[in-house]
This record gives sequence, C-alpha cells and structure tokens, in this order.
Amino acid sequence: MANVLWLIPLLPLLGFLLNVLVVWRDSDAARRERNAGYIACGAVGLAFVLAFIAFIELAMLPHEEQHMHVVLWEWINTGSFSVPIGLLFDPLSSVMVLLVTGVGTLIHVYSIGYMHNDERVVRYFAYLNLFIVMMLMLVMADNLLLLFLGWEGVGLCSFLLIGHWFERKTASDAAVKAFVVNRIGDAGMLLAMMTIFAHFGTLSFVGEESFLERAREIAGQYVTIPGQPTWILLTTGISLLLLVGVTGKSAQLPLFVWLPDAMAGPTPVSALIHAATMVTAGVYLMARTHSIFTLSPTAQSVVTFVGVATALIGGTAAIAQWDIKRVLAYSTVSQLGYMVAAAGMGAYAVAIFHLLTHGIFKALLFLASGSVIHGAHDVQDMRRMGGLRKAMPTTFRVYAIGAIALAGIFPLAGFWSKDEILATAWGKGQIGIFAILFITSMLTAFYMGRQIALVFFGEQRDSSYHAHESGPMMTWPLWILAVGAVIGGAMNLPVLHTLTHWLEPVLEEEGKAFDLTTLILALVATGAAVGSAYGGLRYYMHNAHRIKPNRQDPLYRYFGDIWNMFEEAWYVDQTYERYTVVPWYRSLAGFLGEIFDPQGIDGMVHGVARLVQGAAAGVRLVQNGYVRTYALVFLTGVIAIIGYLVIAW
Amino acid sequence: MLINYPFIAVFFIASVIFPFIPLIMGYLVAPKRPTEGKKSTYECGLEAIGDIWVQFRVQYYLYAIAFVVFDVEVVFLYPWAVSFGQIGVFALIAMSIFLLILVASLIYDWRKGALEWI
Amino acid sequence: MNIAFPDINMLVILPLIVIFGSALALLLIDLFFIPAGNKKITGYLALAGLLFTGLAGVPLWGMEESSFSGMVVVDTFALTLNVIFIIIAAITIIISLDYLPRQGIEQGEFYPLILFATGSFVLLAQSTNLILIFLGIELLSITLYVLTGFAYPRLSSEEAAMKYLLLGAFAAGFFVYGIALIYGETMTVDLNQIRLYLTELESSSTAAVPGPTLLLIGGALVLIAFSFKIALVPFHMWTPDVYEGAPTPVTAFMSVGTKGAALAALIRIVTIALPTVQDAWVPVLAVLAAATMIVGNVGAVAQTNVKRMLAYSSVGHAGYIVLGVVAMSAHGIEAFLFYLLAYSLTNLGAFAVIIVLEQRGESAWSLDDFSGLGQRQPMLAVAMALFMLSLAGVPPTAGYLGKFFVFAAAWESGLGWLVLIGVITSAIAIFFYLRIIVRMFMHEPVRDVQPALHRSITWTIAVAAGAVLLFGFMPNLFIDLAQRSVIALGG
Repeated sequence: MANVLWLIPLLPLLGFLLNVLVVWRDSDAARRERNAGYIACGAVGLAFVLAFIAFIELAMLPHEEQHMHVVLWEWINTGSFSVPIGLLFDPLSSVMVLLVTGVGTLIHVYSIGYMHNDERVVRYFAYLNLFIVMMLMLVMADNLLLLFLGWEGVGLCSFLLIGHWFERKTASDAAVKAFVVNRIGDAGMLLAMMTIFAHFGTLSFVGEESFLERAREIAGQYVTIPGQPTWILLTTGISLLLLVGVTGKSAQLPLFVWLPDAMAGPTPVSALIHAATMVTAGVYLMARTHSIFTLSPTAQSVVTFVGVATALIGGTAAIAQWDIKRVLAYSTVSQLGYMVAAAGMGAYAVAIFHLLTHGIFKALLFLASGSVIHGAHDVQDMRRMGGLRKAMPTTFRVYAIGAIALAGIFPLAGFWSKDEILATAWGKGQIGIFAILFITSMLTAFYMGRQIALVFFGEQRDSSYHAHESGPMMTWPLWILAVGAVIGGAMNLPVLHTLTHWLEPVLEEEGKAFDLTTLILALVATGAAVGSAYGGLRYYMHNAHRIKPNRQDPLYRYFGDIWNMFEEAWYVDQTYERYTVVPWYRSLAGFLGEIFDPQGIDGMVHGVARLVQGAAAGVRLVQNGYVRTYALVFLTGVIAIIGYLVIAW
Repeated sequence: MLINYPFIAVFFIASVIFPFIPLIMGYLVAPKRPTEGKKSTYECGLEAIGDIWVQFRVQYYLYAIAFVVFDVEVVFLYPWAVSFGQIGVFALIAMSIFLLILVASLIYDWRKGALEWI
Repeated sequence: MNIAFPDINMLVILPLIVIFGSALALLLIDLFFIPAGNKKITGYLALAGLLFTGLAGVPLWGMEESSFSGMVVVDTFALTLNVIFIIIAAITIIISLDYLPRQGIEQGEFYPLILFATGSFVLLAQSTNLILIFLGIELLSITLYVLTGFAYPRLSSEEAAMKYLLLGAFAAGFFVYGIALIYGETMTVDLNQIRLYLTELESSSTAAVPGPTLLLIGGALVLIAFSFKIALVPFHMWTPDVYEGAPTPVTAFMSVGTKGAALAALIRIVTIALPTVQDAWVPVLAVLAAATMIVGNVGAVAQTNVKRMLAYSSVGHAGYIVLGVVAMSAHGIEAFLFYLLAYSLTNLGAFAVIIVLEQRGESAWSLDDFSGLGQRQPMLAVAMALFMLSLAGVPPTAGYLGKFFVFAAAWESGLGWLVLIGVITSAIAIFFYLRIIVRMFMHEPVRDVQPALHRSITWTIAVAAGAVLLFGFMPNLFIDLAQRSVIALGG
C-alpha cells in the first residue's frame, strides 16, 4: 500500500482534471451536470476507500513502526537544502485523511442534490476536488514546505468556492477578505519556515534528522538581536510565528474575521472547508510540530490564551446571530478555540479528538442547515423561519442530533471530546481557563437550543415560501453523518483511550487515568449543557411571538449594548476597518498615488474628476514637467547615498 | 612657494582689469555723433523678422548624425594607419569588419532615403 | 609582413558575434527583401538568429575562459543567463508578431532592434570590464529608447521615449563619472584588477592611509546608474510612465530583460571587484531593496490600469530579485537566477495575455477588460490567474519558489529585517493580483472585448503557464544549472 499512497491525492486530482478539461466542454447542460457530480464523487469516494485500506494496513503494523513514507521526487535540491515531494501516512495523518476523504465524499454526494441546476456546477465540482487534493497534500506532507503548498492551495480553493455565487456582491468581497486575511497568517508561516530552516537545515517531519526529532537542540537558545542577547527563546519565536499562521487558517483571534463572511459561499462548501477540514489545518499543524511548542511554556500559554479568548468571543457572538449559517460559523470559531486551547495545554491528542468529532457533527449541522435553506427557498434569516419541523421532519431529526452532539450532551460525540478538554484544564489546575471554557460550553448549548427553537418549533413566521423536505441525495449523507455524530465518541472512550493510544507514536501522549474528579466533571458538564440547551429552547419557544423580521432579539431588552457587541463579535472587524483598512489602504495608497504618481491616480477617490481630466490629457501629455520631478527625486537619492558613504566611511 | 601667490594675485587682478581698460579708453576718447542709422541693431543687412526659434528640417540632424559617425571613423582610422606596420594583418581584418559595419549603416541610411534631400 | 595573430580566443565572444551579426544582417535583409506588410518574415528570421545564438552557446558549455585582456569572459553564469535572455527575446518576438500589425505600427526594424538589445544583454552578462559594461548599458539604453517610442503616432509612446531618454542620459552621466572616480583611485577599469588593488590596500593598510573613499563614491555612482536601469526606488520614477507608454511587447521585454542584464553585470561588479568592501555597499543596496519592495507593492494597490499596475509590480519584483544579490552568498546567486527565470516566464505570460486583450487604438488597459474572462475564455483566464498567483508568490508556482529562495538566502545572510519587509509586502501584493482574478472569475463581462488569439500567442501563453507550473514542481531542472553558474563565479 505504501507504494501506491500517492493514489490517494491523485484520484481527486484526476477528477479535477477530467472536469476541467473534458466535462467542461460538454454542450448538454444536464449531462454535463450529471457527469461532473459523478466524477467528483467517484474520485473522492475511491480515495476514501484507498485511505481506509491504508489505514487498516497501518493498524496491522507493530506500534513503533506505524508509518508509511513514500518520496515521489526531489522537489528542491540545492545541495545543502533538499526538500522532497513525499507523502507521509502515520497515525496522525491517517485520521486526518480519513476525515477529509470520508466527510468529503458525503459532502460531494450531498452537493449533487444541493447544486442541482446551478449554472457553474462543473466549475464547482472541479474546485471541490482540487480542494480535496490540496487538503490531502496538507495532511500527508512529509515536510513543512509541502505542507505550506497544501496550506496555500486550500486557501486558494476556499477563495474560489466562497466566490462561487459572485453575483452576490458579498460573496466576492468575502472571498477576497478570506484570502487577504489568510495571507497575513501565511507571512507568519513563511517566517517560521525560514527560522526552522536556518537552525536545522531541514524542513522534514520524517526520520531522525527531522527538525521535530531534533527540536531539543535549540532548547534554551535565544533569538539573537544585537543589544538584547536574551530577548526571546528561539522555540518561543518559532512557535509564535507558527501561531500567526494558525490564527489565519483556523480563524483564531485576531484573524477570525474572515470565517463568518465566508458563509457567503454555498453551504456544502461551508460544511467541508469552513467547518470540517480546512479550518482545522491549524490544529493539525500544531499537533504535528508539537515538539517545538512543548519546549516553550510561554508560547503554550499564549496559544491557550488565544484559544480560550476565541472560544469565548465565538460563543457569545453565536448567541446573537439571526443568520442560520452565521450561528454555525461563530460556533465553529468557538469550537476551534477549544481545540487550540487544548493544544496550548499540551493535550494534542484531545485536540485531535475534538477536531474529528467536531468535523463530523459540524459538517452534519452545516449540511442540515443547507437542507433548511434549500427547503426554505434560500431564506437564511431565522426570524423568517419557525415551525419547519413539520415540513422537514428528516432535517429536523438530524439537526437535533447534531445540535445535541455539539452541545456536549451525553452520550453523543461532542460530549466525550469536550469533556476531555474541560478535564484537561481542570487537571492542569488552570481554573480560570476551565471557568471560561465551561461558560462557553454552556453558551454553546444555549445557542443551539435557541437555534432549534427558532428554526423548527413554533409557527412559520414568514409564509411567503412553501417549505419542503430535501431529496434523498441530500438526506442520505445527513443520516450517515448523524450516525457518526452519535457514535463518534466511541473512538476515544475515557478508559480505553483508543485514539490517544493510536496517536501515541506521533504525539507521545498517554491517556489519562479515569478518576472520580473526571466523573464529577462529566456529570456537572452534562447537567449544565442540558440545562442551558433546555433554557435556550424554552425561552425562545415562549417568546416566539416577539420574534419578527427586522426586530431585535427578545434578550436584547436585558443586555442592550452588550448584545450589540455580541452580535458584532466584539467589534473586532470594525476595529480593523477603522484602524487598518481605512487609514492604510485608502489613504496611503491614495497618498502614494498623489505624491509619487500624479498620472496614475485611480478612480477610487477622483473617479469623476478623471473623466474631465481625460479631455485635457492630450495637451498635458506632451508637456512633460514631470521629468524634472523625477530627476529631482533621483538626485535626492544620489545625495542620500553619497552622503551616507562619506559620513559612515 | 609662498612668494608665488602674490605674483598670481597680481596676475589675476590685472587680467580682470585689462579687458575693461580699452572699453573705458574708447568711451573717453571716441567722439559721439549718433544718427538713426547708427543706432539700429545692424548697420547693414535686413531687419530681423519673426521668431528667433527657427525650426530646422529633421534632415539636417540625420545628415549631422551620419556625418558624426564617419567623422569618428577617421579618429580610429588615423592611429590604425600610422601603426599599421607594427600591428599587421589582424588589425587589417579588424578594421575591415569595423568599416563593414559602418558601410552597412550607410546602406541602411541610403535605402531608407535618409540621404535624399526632399 | 607580420601575420601573427594576437593571443585572443574568438570563441569567447562567439555568442556576441552571432547575435550582432544576425541583427545586422537582418536589418539589411529586411531592407532589401522583405516587402512591407509582410514583416512577420523578419520576425521569423529573428527567431532563427536567436536559435543560432543559442546553438553558439552549446560548444562553449562548461568552458571557463576570459579573453581580450580579461575584458570578456565566458562561463556557466553567462551562458545560463544567455539562455534566459534568448527565451525572453523569443517570447517577445512571438507576442509581437500579431501585435504590431494590429496596432498599425509594424516596421521591420523592430525585430533587429530586439536582437541588438538582446545582444547587449549578452554583452553585459559576459563583460568584466567597466568600460565594456558601460558599452553594454548604452547599447541597451539606445535600442530601448527607440523601442519605447515605437508606437510612433501615439503620444504616450513618444512621451515615454522622451522621458526615458532624458533620465537615461542623466543616469549614464553618473555611470561614467563613477568609472572615472574608480579609475582615479585604482588606475584600472578591470574588475579583477580593482579587487587586487583593494586586497593590497587592505593588507598594507595602516592607520594613516585613508580608506578607498574615492573608489567607494565611484562605486556608489555606478550602483546608482544600475539602480536606475533595474528601477530601484528612488530611481524608479520613470518606470510607470515608460512601461505604460511603450508598446506592450516592449514593456514585457524591458520589465524582465533589462533587469536581468543589469543585475547580471551588477553581480559581476560586486562579486568580482567589491567583495572586500561589502560592508559599505550592502547596507545601501539593502535599504534600496526595502524601499523598492514597499513602494512598488503599495503603489500598485492604487492602480486600476492593469499595465501600470504591472509596472509597479515589476518595481516591487526588482526589490525581491535584489535580495539575492544583497545576500552575497552562493545561495543568493542561485536564488537570483531562479527568480529571474520564474519572473521572466510569469511576467511575459501576463503581458502576453494583456496583448491578447488589447484592442487597437485603445490605450486603456482597464480592469474592466478582464471582467468575466473566466466565462468567455476559461483557459486564457486560468493561465492569467496562474501568472498572477506566481507573481504574488502563491505555491505551487515558480514565483513562489523564487520568493522562497531569495528570502531563504537573505535570511541566511542575516538580513532578517529585509526578509520581514519582503514577506509583509508580498502579503500586501496579493491584494492587487487577486483583484484581476476576482475580475476574471467573479464578475460579469462589462464590455465586449474580442481576444485576438492567434496560434503562436496561444502556444506562448500555454508554454509559459506550463513552465511556471513545471518549475514550481520541479525546480531542480534549473537549479543544477544555477549551481554550476555560482561555481563559475567563484562563489
């Protein structure tokens, strides 16, 4: 199997190429759509089957030798610096690959129903397949540079898919925002790679020579800055730079602002990319490079802080949303915060556990919300829904399962993973962190109760549409995911620790012993979750008559401005708008235009004025007074350089 | 050394003053009987008419450039001819290539009509 | 009669002989035999000339010799660059074949002029003597002045040529003055001799002897003249105007070829002549590179004219390429060569797409022309998207690896702050490259643009796009070559 490992990413790549090169040209729209869907699903489905076989084979190997590694070709080889294009299939990669291809297949199948009659459906499936390729690259890369290729690739596909319905202005804006914000994170990644390469001379994950194995070499070394020899630990520096990348991709504070906007994309895309797979890449990266993070307590506490703060902000923001998908988006931000916090506390296996269960039930919730949106004829505002239980019974059932799983109620998947994170915080004696995470878990249960009440209970508040249940193409994947959401917790039950044990060769973690404290914590947490969920459900069912389109939430009465703050996610986005986008982009670019480039000012500020100037342009072109200015600037540069040399030398 | 500087200073002052002496002398000695004819810009010839910025035909420049090229050629040819005895056949070949390139440019000029006066 | 030949090796200048010979011959052939309106034949002949130049490099492969009293060398560095220059020139000629008649500015001289300019690139890559480098720079400049003004009846083209000429003459003055000062200090214009002078000075240096101030100032003036050619801030002011005004193939040619050739000569100067005084000039060049990256990328954000945007972007890229030089290491030179190749392919491809979309008599290269291209010409749009991503440095393109290499080289040489600026500016850069992609894939067509897709240009774009991807996945195809070049430089 190790020899044909490359087939796993190759199959979706073939699907992508087939769709782009062959199906695209088909003139029959119906056949084109059908073929595109089947090819894309088949490619990912086969990849899943292969991944499963590889997984079984991996499980057969003795515990210490559990990894498969295949080098396809030398990507870069400059003598001192060599980077292969190599695929790694070890316990950590394997669970990620299974998640990506498994959930990916279901979402592909679902998309056939959801994207029916979309005019750009071929393009959609092609991008979706390309995304799977890039995501597999990311999780199967055997070095940091190849991982970065996948990292950027998924960003690109995310960009393309968010902008799929570009007729909606919000979609293309959100796409650009997602890409640009991610670029900031990528800058951190790139610098982290430079530093790692400068100190280890390799970027590889595999073998004795890998920087992960040799991380101890730089323990205690400091980043050297002239004048400040002990400024910051090298491991802290690398970890923090990696963290910048993580905050971009995994939507953490302060870069989470792109994720809620990304909901402008088609719902299956939100399910696949912005809930189950791509956004968890940051958590995967931290688990992969954990040996560096572990060496820096400072960085770990920063990571924990970022995670906890994000969990809280995301949780509070999710309460106050009206858009069915934005609730889930902020919920995703919040849950990602959980995972990052777990990673920060050194519980990487737990973080991966939560990543996996979350991937299943959040995909379920998104797909179910897609079913709601589909059935409600593209209505997304929950104020215009209500009572959909009767019209869409199946969707209601799976949605409820997903919600219970997310709320962390016994015995569904979310309970087990979330409880482990809470137990870790408690076990580390970090009561403050435990408290915030506990509050957030109550918030989670509350907003899911609220959402169920608003969408499925009561009477339909807007009767302008006739809701209907979705077809089998969409409901079957939902049922499979629902089963996963129910039994997903079984992969890492408290005493057995199957997953922790499975990941041990990579993460070097032992499962915690089960004691009375854990049991009490579990009971308390479940009790709190049930209570909050019930509270949310009851409150909004009772106050259903107060909810009307364009009206404030009934809770607004009690919270006032704080509620507004929640709704705007603590004004992080607005802060950026005011303090970076407006002064820097608008003015600086405009300023540079005025000062350095009088001819080329764009229409941003002077749109209309340019038209008038255009008429005079014929005259002005010949008169080249600017050359003087150019020569003057030139001369200034000359004087500066000569002056520097004369004075400094 | 220092003794030279006063000498130079005297020389410098004298050289500045000297051009003015004839002018002042002439002013003092010469009789002044101005007439209309004498006061005009030119005592002979025509009054200047029109703009002093005259537009030349671009062809003047083309000729000038062609001329400069062949003028510079002479600068190369002369030392070559003088030392021909010492530098031998190789220099002959080199100079021939140089001349051939110039001839090519002349052919280009000619064929493009740059040498025809329209 | 003395018929002894002097001790010179004509093989060393074989590529120069071939390219200038074919340019000269082509000029006359075009004059006598090629009828007006059928000047494409001249273009094809020019391609043949380039092919011969490339073939002339084959027997020289692996050779390492200097001749003409050490004025000219041939080594793997020069030959590698020659290959890149020939590729650049060939693509330029191919994308001009249809462009010139479409714009109504077809004249046979265009192709010989491109050959002359390419010849001057080769000369710059091969010379190790300041006078010869000056000769190359001037030959390059004069042909480019003419080429810039080639769209003769269009005012912006003439204006651009005029500006370029005036500022170019200004810069040339600095160059000559710099050479004069260097000669004044060292009594030589040969790069190796200058190095000898400096090492001797260093070994015999006592406190009483002042440092080589004159030489440093001379070197700075030479550096400034090169900065003008490469378009480093603040000597870049001419770039947007000239790039916008010049005929598009010429812009493409200038934006990659001139930079490459001037940087090649600069690398020779700094690695051969001035390595002992690098503490003096490295900070200067580093600051110039930083300013260039910032101004180029931020300036591009404000542009809606695509050609002008690419002009600013090429200013920014000059900054990145210079990082490879500033690193002053073997990795730096490798990175420079790889970046140059990647950037050349990418930028020429991008300009080829612009040429396809350029309509006759319109001087607006507006973003609107790209709107909805993804629907009308999907493959063209995909290629353009690939070029934009490569310019922005997004993997898996060649542009990404180029950036990675230059950053890594600069990082190794302890220029962390410069890398930081580079990484941040390239994060800014994604914004304006993305704007074109958004236009192509996420907008409806605004106006009817008929892409002029001929077979030759379609193939050029396809090959360039393929190469950008290929070198993104298999950079080793080129890196081996680059490494041998570095060995040739003694780095």
